Amino acid sequence: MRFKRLYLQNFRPFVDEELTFSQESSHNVTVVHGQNGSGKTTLLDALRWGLFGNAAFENEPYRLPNQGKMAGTDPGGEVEVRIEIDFEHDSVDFELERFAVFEKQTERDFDGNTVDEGITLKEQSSSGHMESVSNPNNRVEQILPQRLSDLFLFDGEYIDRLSGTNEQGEIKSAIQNIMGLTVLERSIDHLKKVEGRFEETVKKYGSDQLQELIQQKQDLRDDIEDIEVKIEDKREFRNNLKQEIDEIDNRLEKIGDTAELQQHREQLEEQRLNLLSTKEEINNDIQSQISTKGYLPFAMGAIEETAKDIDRLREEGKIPSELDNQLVNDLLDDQTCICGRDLKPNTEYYQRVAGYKNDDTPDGVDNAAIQLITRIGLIQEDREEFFESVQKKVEQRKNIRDKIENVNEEIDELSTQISGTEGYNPETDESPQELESSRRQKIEKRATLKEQIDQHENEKELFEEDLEELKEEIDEAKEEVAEATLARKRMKATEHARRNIESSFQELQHTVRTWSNDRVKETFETVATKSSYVAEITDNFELKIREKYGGDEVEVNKSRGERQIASLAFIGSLVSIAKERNNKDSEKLYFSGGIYPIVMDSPFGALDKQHRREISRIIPQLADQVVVFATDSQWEGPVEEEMTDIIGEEYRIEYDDGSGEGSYPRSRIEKVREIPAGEK
Amino acid sequence: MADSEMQIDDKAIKKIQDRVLREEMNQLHYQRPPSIIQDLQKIIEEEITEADISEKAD
Repeated sequence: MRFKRLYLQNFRPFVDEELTFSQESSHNVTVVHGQNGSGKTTLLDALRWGLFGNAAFENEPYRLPNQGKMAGTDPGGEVEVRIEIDFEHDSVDFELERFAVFEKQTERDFDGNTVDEGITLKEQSSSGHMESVSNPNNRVEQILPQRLSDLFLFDGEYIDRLSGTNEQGEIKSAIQNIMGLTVLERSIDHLKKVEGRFEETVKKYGSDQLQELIQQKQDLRDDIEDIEVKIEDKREFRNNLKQEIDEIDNRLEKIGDTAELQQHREQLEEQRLNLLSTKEEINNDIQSQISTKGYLPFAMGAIEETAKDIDRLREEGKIPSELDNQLVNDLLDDQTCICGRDLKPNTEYYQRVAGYKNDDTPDGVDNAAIQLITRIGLIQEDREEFFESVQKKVEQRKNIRDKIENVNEEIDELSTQISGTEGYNPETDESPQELESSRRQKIEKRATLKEQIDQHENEKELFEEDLEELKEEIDEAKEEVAEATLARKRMKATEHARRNIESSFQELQHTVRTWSNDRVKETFETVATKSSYVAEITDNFELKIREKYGGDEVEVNKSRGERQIASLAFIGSLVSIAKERNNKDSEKLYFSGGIYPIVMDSPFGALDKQHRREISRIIPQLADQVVVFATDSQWEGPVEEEMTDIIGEEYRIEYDDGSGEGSYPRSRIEKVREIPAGEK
Repeated sequence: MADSEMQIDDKAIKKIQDRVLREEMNQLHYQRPPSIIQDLQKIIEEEITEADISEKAD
């Protein structure tokens, strides 16, 4: 970047002034000098305000518009402040214009209120035309980042600050900023935070829950299988018992006196089986009715309450009634009124009663209300039917139970009779008593087994319900595991990228330290008054001055002048490195160097003549373009002598302090000399 | 967890680095609102996706 032109309109003491900057490499210095308070610092402020929209105005920071212009404007009138900066960047021309319009509020108002402001930036297109840039602030920031501007547009105060012993952080920050290390450092810091975010997700979803659930599921399946085996074994045992009982029955039938009793018992047992089957059917029927219509007893309260509300609304006339019209129609058809009066058609009474009819057609609400009331009646009927039906079934079941009870008693009686019968089975020689006793034991055992099987069936049902729930939990856990896996991979990718950037950072930091140290050392050696002094950028990016004693170097307390020289040498070195590295590292997007001007306002304040001379000689060699704003006294002497051969443009600020009546401070920029084209 | 699921292509890492540095530089230049952490997280989520995990797992 190189400045080409600066125009100031109504900007503080400048009303309508312009200066052009030298861009010749052999005459790369532009100097503007003037007496103290003439407006040199304002020129630096104008560049900052024009580029970035703000400036650290030292005096009366709120007062931007020219006082004379404000004084000459009536209240309500406006003064426009305008800065134009023409510059070149990467061989492309730019024209920047920033303005602010101030409205005068009262007769004595010299500050005004901002009523309009803006910026335009034109960029030279490939065809050579100047075209407006859509986002001028961003484009300017891209060309000359504001965070770097202190390094290129600075005053003596910044030099003082930079050279202060406690401001070493600023040196490191300046180096990192200009060399692209800041981008790397920020990336490293931010990627650590991103890693943390992914780690949170891993922690959230990455528990061992899935494995635990899968184990639980397996355990549960094993339990169910165990129960199934038990059920199967017991069923088999039960069936075997049944066969044994059948065998006993056969044996009993072969004992003469018990044969008839045994046959009777078989009939009763068959009868009992049928009764049990009927009882089961009734139970199923009751269960079915309760599940389909069981709500009726519980819902009835709410239904009746609703019906009452609807009736009330109808009485209050909030629901139009079709029944009213029906009643009137009935009366007219009967030709008799409620009071008993005749209602002959075309008579006055007929017309009056007919007039009670509601003209409105019953609407949806009315119909719905009527249907609801009708439906409530049906629901009541349903409820009564439900109760009757269930009651009937319960009675049927009780009858069956009684019958079963009777059959059981009969069977018990038969068993007693069989036990008391004399005789022996001809084949096995067993008595009826022995056979019946064995039979009873087996029946009891079968009953016990039946209870156990039912219990197992219930357990199995509960386990199967648990298994279904577990399956759902496992599906959810699987989704969470997938989330955790993805987050873990993203965390790992972030860590890889961060470590790579850290490695680049270390490498580049070392290189940058070496570059800046070499350049600062070389520059300082040229300007230092004592040849034994050495400037150094340490490993921690601190700017130190050491003095050589024999073979050793010892850090010395620097004088203000020495420190200022070191700071100027430092800035010059950075600008020089950025220029040298320009485009050399273009493949690394975070560092491409750049060409930057140096604009210095009163930088020679604390320097003695010898140092002024050396700085004036060295700085123009380090930067592509140098602009110096200096007081006349700083300029005259060694600075002028050293720079005179490389000056491209020289200006002097003429200042009128406006001490006369009706007069206001005003500065004018006058060209002292311009190097003729032939000498450039 | 299968090791194959955790393998990350060098090209993907390089792409992440480039995109991260470009985003950082843009935000530094243009002084955007401080949403950089979310923006970087989004970059990584875009470069390492569910499909990436499934492919490796398959």
